[in-house]
Amino acid sequence: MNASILACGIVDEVGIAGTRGVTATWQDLEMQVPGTGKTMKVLFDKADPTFRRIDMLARSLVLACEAADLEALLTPAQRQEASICVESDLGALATDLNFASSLNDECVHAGIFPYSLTSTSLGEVALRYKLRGPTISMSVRDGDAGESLREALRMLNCGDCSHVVTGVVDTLREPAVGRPAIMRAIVAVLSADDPGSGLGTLSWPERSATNIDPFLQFAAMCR
Amino acid sequence: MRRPVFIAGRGAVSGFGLGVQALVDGVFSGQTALRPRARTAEYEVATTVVGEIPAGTFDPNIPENDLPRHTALVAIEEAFAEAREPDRRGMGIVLATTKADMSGICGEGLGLGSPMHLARQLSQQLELGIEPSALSCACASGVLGIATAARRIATGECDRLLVIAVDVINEFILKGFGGMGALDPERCRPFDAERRGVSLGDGAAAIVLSANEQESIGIRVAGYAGANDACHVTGPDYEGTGIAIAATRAVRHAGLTMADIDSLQLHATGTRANDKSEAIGLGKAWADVADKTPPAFGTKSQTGHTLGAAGGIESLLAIATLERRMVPKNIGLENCNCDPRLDLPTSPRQLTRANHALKVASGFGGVQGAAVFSA
Repeated sequence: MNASILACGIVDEVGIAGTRGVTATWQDLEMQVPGTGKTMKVLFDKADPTFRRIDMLARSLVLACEAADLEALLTPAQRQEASICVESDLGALATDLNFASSLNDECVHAGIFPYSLTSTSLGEVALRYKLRGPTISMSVRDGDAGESLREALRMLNCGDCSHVVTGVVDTLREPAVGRPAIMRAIVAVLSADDPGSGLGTLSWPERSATNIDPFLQFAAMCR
Repeated sequence: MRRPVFIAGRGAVSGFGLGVQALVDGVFSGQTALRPRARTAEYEVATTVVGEIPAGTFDPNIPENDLPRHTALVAIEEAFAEAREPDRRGMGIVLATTKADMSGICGEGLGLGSPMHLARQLSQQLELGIEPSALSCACASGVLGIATAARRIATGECDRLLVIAVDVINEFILKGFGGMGALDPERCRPFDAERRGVSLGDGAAAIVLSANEQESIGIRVAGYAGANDACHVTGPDYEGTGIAIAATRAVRHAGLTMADIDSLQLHATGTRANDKSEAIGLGKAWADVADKTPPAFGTKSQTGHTLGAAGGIESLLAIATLERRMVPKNIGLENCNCDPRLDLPTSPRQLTRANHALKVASGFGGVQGAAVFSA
């Protein structure tokens, strides 16, 4: 069960990079990780008036997809059928903690409540690129890495969709509840295997006892 | 070639208490499990009722954060019994939930709202041989969990999987929906002109899927699909585009046409926006083959909205329409102001044909799911 890797994008604590040409560090951009309201304009010459209001998880995913040049890569018809399937270890932990801190206030932080679900951040990607295939948010814990890749391969193999935006996203600005700070969103755009096309081939990532990170291959393609 | 996927066992816990029978009997007899809040009474939110698991069902000393695990285990026990105690070494779990165990975020513990944390706990406790999977696709989790598990069986990756869809309401969830102004102060009334929002509920549904027809209860998962509104992250597309796409894709995946569907189990939250767009979208989905949809029903005015569990619990109710050859009435619906192409019985409707039932679900992030169950 294989798939062709068409493009990749990465956003991490260092900066943003993608297989379609963008490479920049947050330091060079003089921006806070993962971007501000001006980031889309500065990096991609795009107006995104709602970027500022979305959470870190969604921002990093959207930027990683931009770095993969998703809009240009797939036609509108292809995006209509494309799925997004992304995994996360921490899920929406940062938003959960933020919302939970308001539970005893007179007014809770209602505006962020929907972002306590990782699927909402995937939805931010889907609505920007009009991805109308299945939206699947997978949960993983240490050692499970690659669940989203396996599910993406299954969907492509079954013909349930033509393209999948897959990857991993974990964001936590500061250590909390025993979990270290982390910032990474890595996405790959896959299509049904077509040898010779794209940047390479994704093979079935076996569950590994050695904690080999299956997303590093995409990161390596970006930088 | 896609292998057929059969349902081998079912279990449920809901506001009607323990068991699929209690759930189905309660819904089909027109009762409601929405009652004045008890376990959650201390939380200050603008609603009087919820569909809590009845008091006395579980030890009251069980921490609220651990209720999802206990609730899931009871539902699984029932499903395993109907499935004649399948070999657990060859089985894995697909957990579908929104937030699972909130310990560590609200109160002490290690849950951290991680579905995989709960999936691992359940898998270890049940001594299942296949590694667990977990997904969190908002209120479409249950349906998409069934789809995810069915896909693995269909491809031949495994022969048997357990889907468990579970969520138990807590302060975090109640105040979240309350803060958004999404709660009906009283019992919700999906599709009624006076509807004011959603009522929440606890629930778990366990479904054993198998590649072996001999293990079947006489129902198979014939088709499944997902989609996204790609419109707004918390509100629906007012044309119901996403839910229509999911429904038509699932029916096509089953090798059927819309005219083949005999009953329709709705998402039907009771919010003004959801019900309006759902009716428009599904009305359009059938427009080429009929003036109206097949008889359609929503049950959140009876069970409450059980969030990640809803797709599982309501799939069991969709299956029940095939077994009972009947669609129950829509409780709370008196004066519909939604697209009239959605056929919403206000009294129980006998089915002259009961071969295929469609279940649809929607969630935050524009997530949509649909599944076809066939007798």
